[in-house]
Amino acid sequence: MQEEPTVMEFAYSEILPPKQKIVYHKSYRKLMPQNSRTILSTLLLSILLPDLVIFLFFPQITQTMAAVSRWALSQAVPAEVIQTISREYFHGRIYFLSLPGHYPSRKLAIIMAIIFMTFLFVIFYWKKVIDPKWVWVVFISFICLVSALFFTFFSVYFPYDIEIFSEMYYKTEIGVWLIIPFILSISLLPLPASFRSKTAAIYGTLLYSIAFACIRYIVFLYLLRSISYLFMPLMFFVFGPFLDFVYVVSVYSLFTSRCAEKHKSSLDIWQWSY
Amino acid sequence: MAVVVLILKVFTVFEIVVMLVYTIRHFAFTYNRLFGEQRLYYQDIVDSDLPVVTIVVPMHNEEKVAKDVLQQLTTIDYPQDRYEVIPINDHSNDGTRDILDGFAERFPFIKPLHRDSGGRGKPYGLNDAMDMARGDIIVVFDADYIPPAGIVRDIVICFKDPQVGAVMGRVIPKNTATNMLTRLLDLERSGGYQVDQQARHNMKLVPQYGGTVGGFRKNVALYLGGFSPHLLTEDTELTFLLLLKGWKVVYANRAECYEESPEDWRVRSRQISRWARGHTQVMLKNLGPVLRSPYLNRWEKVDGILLLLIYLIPLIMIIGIPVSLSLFFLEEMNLIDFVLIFIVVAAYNSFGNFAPFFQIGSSAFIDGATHRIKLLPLFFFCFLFNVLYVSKGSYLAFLDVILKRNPEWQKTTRFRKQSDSPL
Repeated sequence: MQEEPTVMEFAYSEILPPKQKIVYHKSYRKLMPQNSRTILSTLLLSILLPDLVIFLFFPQITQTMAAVSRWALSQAVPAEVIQTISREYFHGRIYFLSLPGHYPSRKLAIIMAIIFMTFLFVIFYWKKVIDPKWVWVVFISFICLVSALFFTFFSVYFPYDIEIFSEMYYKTEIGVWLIIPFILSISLLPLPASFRSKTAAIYGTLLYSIAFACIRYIVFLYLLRSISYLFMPLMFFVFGPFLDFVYVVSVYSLFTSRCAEKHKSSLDIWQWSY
Repeated sequence: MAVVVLILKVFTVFEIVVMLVYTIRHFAFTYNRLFGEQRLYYQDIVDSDLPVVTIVVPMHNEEKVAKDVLQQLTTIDYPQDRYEVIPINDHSNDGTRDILDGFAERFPFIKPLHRDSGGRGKPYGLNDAMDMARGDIIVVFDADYIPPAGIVRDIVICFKDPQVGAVMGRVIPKNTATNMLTRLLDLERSGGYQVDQQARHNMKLVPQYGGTVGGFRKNVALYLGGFSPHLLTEDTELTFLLLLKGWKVVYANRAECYEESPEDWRVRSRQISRWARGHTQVMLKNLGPVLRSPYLNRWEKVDGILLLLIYLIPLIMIIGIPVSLSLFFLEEMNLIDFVLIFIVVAAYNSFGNFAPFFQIGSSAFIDGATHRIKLLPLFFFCFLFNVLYVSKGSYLAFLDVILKRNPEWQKTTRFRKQSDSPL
């Protein structure tokens, strides 16, 4: 006959199952400090160098991006309406495109305002805002509603066209490119990975950011041209710098995750304070 | 119009400055935790002269979880004659009473406190429990917690230090694998305890007594007037009352206790709203006294103030959304004409900065997490959700002050499947 388990055995088997492996305690462990050479290399090669490259060569980068964007847009928009504009910015010039955009008609603005207002009302009536995805939908709808109301009542005061938007977009993206090496360097520096892999992640993210900024710019301009300026605030507040930080965080999380996987059984990367 | 624009710009600059201050705070804590000297807890003290302890477990309709926590408390590694357990049946109308009475029949050190009259809520319950408690030290566990055998000894040992007024242990979600929300909460908890609390403990700042797995001196709590029944976060209030009277609050990273995280967003929204509302109540009450306190050094004051103000950040952010939109439509996004990088900083700060991600990622790394870290970008997904419901809580706290009303205690819904009693 099977023996009755003791209270302790029962408790631990049912509620807190016994651990298969007792590992070193994680409460007070910390990482080995980085040596001064690594810190200096990070500062020089992962922060200063890419920032210097961006700062010195943003005219060339934006010029290339403008050329690529112009070529891509000319597949859908008559090439003669696309202009390349340049403006002074810091020590050089930035290059971007200008083309006639599409102001929403009053009728369209009113229809969109009614649609988003009804949509928001329905969401709140159904109490859907307890779900994060619906909170995002509310946020996006709110921005679109504000924009639609603006174009309904103050359309003539809308201060932007594609040219101003482009200038703002490019300047914002240059800022993002300058920030990326800094943020990623100080976040990846503590991890027990090779300097080469960290630098590769930083430069890779930077290249991705430049390429993604170009693709996004083409899409934005196409939408502003073919649909309307009504969605310009959405492009700036949701699909602008915010989106850039999503992929920066993604790179950080992937790198950290891989590093953690690689070192999950190593003890030599840790120090214990007791 | 120029005045309006100026106000909007001043607000935006204010928002950016506030966010930068918290960014620096997050980075400082994370770097301290990753590389700094780790301040030990008191676990190396071996003393047979342990104080008498009363373990209090507040419960309101907790039949789903009551058995588990009481079962665990019968296996506690602590001298039998030196501890008692007071599970508080706070106006329950489910099977909680029967469960408590069943345990009391079998274990004489379990002494249920049935509260059927008077006000309902954790502060009321704790005050009544302190009246009947035999122990000098009160250890509190929430009903959904599953305390391991050694935790009471770990928690109590710090009171050998006469300066310690309260201690907080580490909370670890048990139902992590249930869904995406519980996985994200696991990461969030990791950041909050493994890095944030431990760094504050390391730096001798202001670790927070969280009231769910921790302890405090009974006589001090009584001297401070007990728990205010009108505050929704009596734990945060105790933290500041202790600090203002010269007591220390310590953090025991090793004293790990399992909890049940909310498994649906509705429960989570209520939980963070309640925290924000209670925390803002405490902030309104204690901001001035913290600034004037003769017992706190400069850095403790800075950390205490930042801690008190932390739940206002989402409110500032939510106000920042229409402000940014207004500036956009007024073509005033260029706060400083020639430094357009400012726009980026503004946008970046408006939508949450990188520092919390770094904090959570680092804590998960220290905790030995691997694939879970890949979930970090999903915090963007719940960012607006948190901003919305924390703001709601803070807004209600201000409204409570204006309308002179007292908020009612709200219980967090449990999700655990009913386990059979082992007894």
